Amino acid sequence: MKLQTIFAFEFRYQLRRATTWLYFGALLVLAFLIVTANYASDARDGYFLVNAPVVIASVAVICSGFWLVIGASVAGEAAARDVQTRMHLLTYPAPASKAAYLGGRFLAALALNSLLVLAVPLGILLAMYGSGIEADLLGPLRPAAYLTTLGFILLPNALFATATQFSVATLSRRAMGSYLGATTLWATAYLLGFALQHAGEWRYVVDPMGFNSVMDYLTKWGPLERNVRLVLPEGSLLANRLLWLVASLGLLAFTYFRFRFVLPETGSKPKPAQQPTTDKAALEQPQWGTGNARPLVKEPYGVATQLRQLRLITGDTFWQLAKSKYGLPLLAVLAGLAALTLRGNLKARGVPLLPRTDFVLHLLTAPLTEPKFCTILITLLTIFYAGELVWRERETGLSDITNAAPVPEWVLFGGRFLALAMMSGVWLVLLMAAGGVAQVALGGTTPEIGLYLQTFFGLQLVECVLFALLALLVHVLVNQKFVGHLVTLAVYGFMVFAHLLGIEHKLLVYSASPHWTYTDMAGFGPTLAPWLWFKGYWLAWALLLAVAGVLFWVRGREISVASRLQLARRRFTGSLIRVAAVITVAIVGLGGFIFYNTNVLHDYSNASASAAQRAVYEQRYRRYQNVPQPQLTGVNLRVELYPKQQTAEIQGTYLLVNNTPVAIDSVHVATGTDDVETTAVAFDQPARPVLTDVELGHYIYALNKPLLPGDSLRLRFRVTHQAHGFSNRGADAQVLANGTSFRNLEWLPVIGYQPYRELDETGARKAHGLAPRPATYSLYDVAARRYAPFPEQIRFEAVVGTDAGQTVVAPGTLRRTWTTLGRRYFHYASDAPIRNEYAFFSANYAVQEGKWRNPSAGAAQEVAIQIYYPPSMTENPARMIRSAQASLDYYTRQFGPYPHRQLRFVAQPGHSFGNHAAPINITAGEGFFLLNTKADKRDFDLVTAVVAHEVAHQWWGNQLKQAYVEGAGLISESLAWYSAMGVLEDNYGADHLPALLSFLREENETPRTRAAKPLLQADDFYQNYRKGPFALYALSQHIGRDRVNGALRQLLAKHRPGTRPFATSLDLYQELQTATPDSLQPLLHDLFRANTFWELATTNATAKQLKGGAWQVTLGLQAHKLVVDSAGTETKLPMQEWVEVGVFAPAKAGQKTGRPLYLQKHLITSGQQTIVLTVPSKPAKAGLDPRGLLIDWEATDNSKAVTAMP
Amino acid sequence: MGKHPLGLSIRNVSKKYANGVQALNNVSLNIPPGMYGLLGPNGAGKSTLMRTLATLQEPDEGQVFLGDIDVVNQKEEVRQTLGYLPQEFGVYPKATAEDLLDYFAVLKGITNRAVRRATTEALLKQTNLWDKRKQKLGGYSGGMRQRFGVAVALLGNPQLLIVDEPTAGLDPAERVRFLNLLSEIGENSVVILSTHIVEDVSELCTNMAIINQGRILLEAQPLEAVAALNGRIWRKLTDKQALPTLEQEHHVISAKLLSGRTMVHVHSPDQPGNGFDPVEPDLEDVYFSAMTGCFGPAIQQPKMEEVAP
Repeated sequence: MKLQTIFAFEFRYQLRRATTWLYFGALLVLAFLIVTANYASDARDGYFLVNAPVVIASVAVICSGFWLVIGASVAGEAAARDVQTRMHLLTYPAPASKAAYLGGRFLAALALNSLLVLAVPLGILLAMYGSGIEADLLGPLRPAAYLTTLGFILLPNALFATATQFSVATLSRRAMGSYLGATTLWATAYLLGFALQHAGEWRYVVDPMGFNSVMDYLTKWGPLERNVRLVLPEGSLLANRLLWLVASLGLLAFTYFRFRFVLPETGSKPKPAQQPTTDKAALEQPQWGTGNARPLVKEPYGVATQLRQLRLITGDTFWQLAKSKYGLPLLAVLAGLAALTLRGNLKARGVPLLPRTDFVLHLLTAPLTEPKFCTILITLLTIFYAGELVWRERETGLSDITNAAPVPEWVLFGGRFLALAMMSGVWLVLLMAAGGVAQVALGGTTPEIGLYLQTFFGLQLVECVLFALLALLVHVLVNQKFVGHLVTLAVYGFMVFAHLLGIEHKLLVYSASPHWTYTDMAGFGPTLAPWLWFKGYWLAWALLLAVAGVLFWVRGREISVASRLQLARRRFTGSLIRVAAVITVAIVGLGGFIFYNTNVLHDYSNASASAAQRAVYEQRYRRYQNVPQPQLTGVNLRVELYPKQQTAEIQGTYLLVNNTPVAIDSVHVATGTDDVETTAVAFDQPARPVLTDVELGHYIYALNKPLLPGDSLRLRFRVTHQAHGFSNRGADAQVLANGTSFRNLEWLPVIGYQPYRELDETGARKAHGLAPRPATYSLYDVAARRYAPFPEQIRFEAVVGTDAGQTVVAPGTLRRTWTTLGRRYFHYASDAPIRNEYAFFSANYAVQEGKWRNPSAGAAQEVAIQIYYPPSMTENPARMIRSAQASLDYYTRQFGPYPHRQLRFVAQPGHSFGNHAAPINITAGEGFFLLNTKADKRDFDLVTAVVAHEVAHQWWGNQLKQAYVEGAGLISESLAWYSAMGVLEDNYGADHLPALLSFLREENETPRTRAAKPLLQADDFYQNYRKGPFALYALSQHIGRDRVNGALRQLLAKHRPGTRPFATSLDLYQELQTATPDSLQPLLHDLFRANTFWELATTNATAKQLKGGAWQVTLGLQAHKLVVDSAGTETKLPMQEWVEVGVFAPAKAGQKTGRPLYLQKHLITSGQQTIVLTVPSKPAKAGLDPRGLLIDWEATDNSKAVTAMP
Repeated sequence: MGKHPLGLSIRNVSKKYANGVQALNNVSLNIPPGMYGLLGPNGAGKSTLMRTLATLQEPDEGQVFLGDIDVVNQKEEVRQTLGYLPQEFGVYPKATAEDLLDYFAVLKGITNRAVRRATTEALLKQTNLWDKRKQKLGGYSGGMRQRFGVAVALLGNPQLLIVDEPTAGLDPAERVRFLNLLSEIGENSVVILSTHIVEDVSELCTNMAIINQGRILLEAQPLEAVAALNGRIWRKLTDKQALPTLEQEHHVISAKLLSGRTMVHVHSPDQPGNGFDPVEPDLEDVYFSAMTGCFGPAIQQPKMEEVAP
């Protein structure tokens, strides 16, 4: 009865609060936005139906994270309002039992929170049926999808969270305690899940919101499952729900037993014993002090006093904040965590990096609008701190005294702002220390203190300060603490996600600016100037916000909107008006200058505008795709680079030949797209422009005299690139003071219509009225197979001038280099034709050189290997040369000659680790030179392997050109990795290949759907870079490496460079078929033509010693084979094939597996079977397909330890 | 400080809250230097008036002048010479008296460290908190906290001191000491003391006003007001049951229990009748006369009668 009354009162009380409904609304809007802004576009791209159960569930788990903060307020109120309002003096003595009191309050909180989470399905429904989502993206309305989400995700989450928050708030007797509970849950769900990425099922079980499970369903489930399968508590999700149910009930029970109806002051810790004596002391002295004590001091009030007040208040406020639990101690802990995570984050594909300061900075700094883990933390804390600073005096009850003191509002606001800024400063000091300590601990580099100071206190602090001011202002304006937190969070969310709402111009999103970047090689380059302009603009805005903060600073009891407005009007006088006027002028001035740069000097187009432009390009010019065009066969360039001026001028001549059987009367020229101006286009025979589309870069010239088959003509042009000012994306970073690089793909004209410039995303194509087509053309689309970007073989020659101190790298032989008028010139020319893809580099490089001589040819066949690397990064070049030599050696023997006289790796500034293989010159990201393979615990040399892979592209991609359809990656990337395996196997000893295989196999552990097209239609990373190489390797282990390599040699021979048709995966398949004996044709089919999975397991393995010392091993084996189609339908197939069975000796110290005692192929069939075999010595481990040649994602059960029988 | 003490003049101030309560209704007062008592029951509008004087609230209408400073529009000037002890205030429980007083000294504009130290020391001694200056405020008793509030209010030598219900939570001894301190200060400044305890005013104030339901019922000097009632207050010891009859027949201004019976005070220019004895009036009779409408601006009398049962 009492419980009911307590419950009903609490429920009604909170239900009547406006904030409760505000929370409901916020949650509803959030769910709505997640569906419309995020999932709807995924659905348009065909990923799933937007109302699929798993989508609804994932909206629910995302919303659960936000709701935690909201729910905390509800639970905290219910648990601690009595103590905080001091009403507990009345409620505690009342004759209600603990069970009724706590139970009523808890159930009310739970009911309210359950009510609140109903906003999520409501918001989803509203988005589905009220936001204009196209009907074809929606499946039928399934109540079960909403009910399961509610019943298994949202309501349990509400229970777990309310229980935790309520318990912490009850026991700590502070509403704030529930936020602590919420934060802990949030961190467990979202951060721990992230940290435990490699901990298998555990990350699903420990996550109280079910976030990790559901989000992984979204990627792991096949298309069919994604659209229809309900999210039910099964497996780890069931374990999760049960675990947290038990935990919640346990917590509640604990709270019940710990809670006592006693006053908080006297509850646990006794009061200081001095209390009584103070009163006695007062009694002993009947008089208060007298007379003389009135200090007759009066300072003149003026700006000087106010500034001193500001200084003292700032200091005082800062120390109060810093000394609290949530101040310095918390920041120090967070900085410590940041230092710990640095080790794990300073890695590329699992390889540790030398912790050079610029890369550490890259991890530790981030703009407000693109937060990283550690910047989110300080941002959230800033919101919290701002609320405390604005509210502390009022919550303590000191505000009346303070507000009646002669302190101007600007000092009160300013003092708090400066204190908040100082907290940010302290955070940066701690973070800097963390970074430095981590660097020293990891070793290999020294922290660059100057750079730290510059970036942290010159750059990152500005972000913090901007946000501090914003958070303060919002709290001042909203004047309601928790609503203030919520609004600030919403504003922050807007800043981060504005681009998703189509607001991309950085003049419109508070604090937004282009990035600054710093790398050792290029320094800040031109990235700093635009950053400064934008930040200057936003700082001016921030000052205006500060003025608003001063105007609306709440002082006294007048809190109605009307009276605050009136007060603000009255405060807006004299100097404030002048300040505001100056700031406004600054905003207009800076904004105007930025706008001039972004929209006048540069062509401002946001994502949707540029998508529209691509669509128009296709609509207007696709019709010319198959118009006969002359082919580019020679390129002659005169390039002048002015790195300091960020300018490049190119004069070029193309030699075009009519290789078609018909006369050509017009030439289509597609000009460069990336901030270049193409002028002076002219032919060496009379021609006139018929179409000039500068915007889309398409020109048509009619030749007065048609170009007959076999005839040639020259095309001259001038291309200039001049970095002027900056665009909305920042400064142009192609021609740099050090580290210039640019490619013909982006800058120079091409002949004909360019399909690669089309819009690919299904949703965007539909929105712009383009004919539907897959993002990648089908392998079986014969017309599409006729296209490959930049396939021509050209003779290349270029003279490039640059600053005297720099080195230019371009394809071909460096014929001559000379210096005139303080500029250095380089003359490069190709000895053999190259594919029409090349880049120019100019920088201050160090060079490591090596040679490789083809043993089967004369000295003329010598290839110079050069690594152009940033001076000081000496770790990897020698290793790279060695790998390149081994690769050239192996590939020429296996696949055919290397046509060029040089092979170069050229460093490109940036944080990238990637490589890109153009003919002769391979671009290597600056980060690649920081890879510290010696520190890799896997004993794996990624640098050597990647170099072998890139060199292989000189055959696969640069000689053999693949058509731009599905399976293209199988030809370039899979063949490159497969070839690299051979290099390691032949040249690097026994351990290297298994290390590479196990590295490549790591990807199998990433959860993903088994639904996929067959490998021949590969079009994603996993298929191209992982599954493809393994399929080839498995085949080579069955039919022999020589046969596979022979097939590849055949493929190359049949598709000579520059000839058509382009190779497809079908051609590869045909060669492999030819090379494969009939008995293994089914395997070939399974590997390439079907998406096959094997499920192999060793169920038992026993051995007994025979007379004579040999051992008889008995293996129980299980095998299944199934095919999964691209929708996710699984079909079991009968299995009847040759699979390796292996038995291994005990492993020696430091090894995983011992020497093989037996490794033979056996005919394995579906189901359970037993194999008995004999080995010469004692076995330790045995299994089916122990080397993982077949595709089996559960590889751990393939082998088993052998039990010795008496 | 050769400055002449300033008077405070309140002209036609009205304030109505958003919930419809008319907290102040056309209040006009002239407050000379010295101690001024503002007497009224709970909810009379005292605190609203005090907060308005302390620049924390804005009147809907009317003006307030401290000397020639317009309190409503020249808040900053007022604050420079204002000391305010609110009816309720909190402290940072983890801060020591010395630190928090120092903080307030800064807020009051005493930014010179040496001066500030001297000032806080003097004030802590004056309020007898010097020995307890290092103690956390969370451990202070109600009286000590109140004294600390006085110390804060006295910072910067205010010309206008506003103390809102300062004696409410004090024990009798504390109260006496507190009032002594106030009277000392009243020698140089305008000190406005709001209270619902008649003794506070009678013991201390040279001028006073009685306020109820937002209206000033009486503005007078306590001694003169008491004198004006001379011969008009009568008392009778009666039973509880007889009270309604008495109330119908006479202007009963107060009725309190005395040894289980009821002592009734009646306002009447003449002997009201049988059993009534004349009483030497005191300020309490003034207060209750004013509250029941028997004493004060003549215009209010009929209205009060209408309301009276």
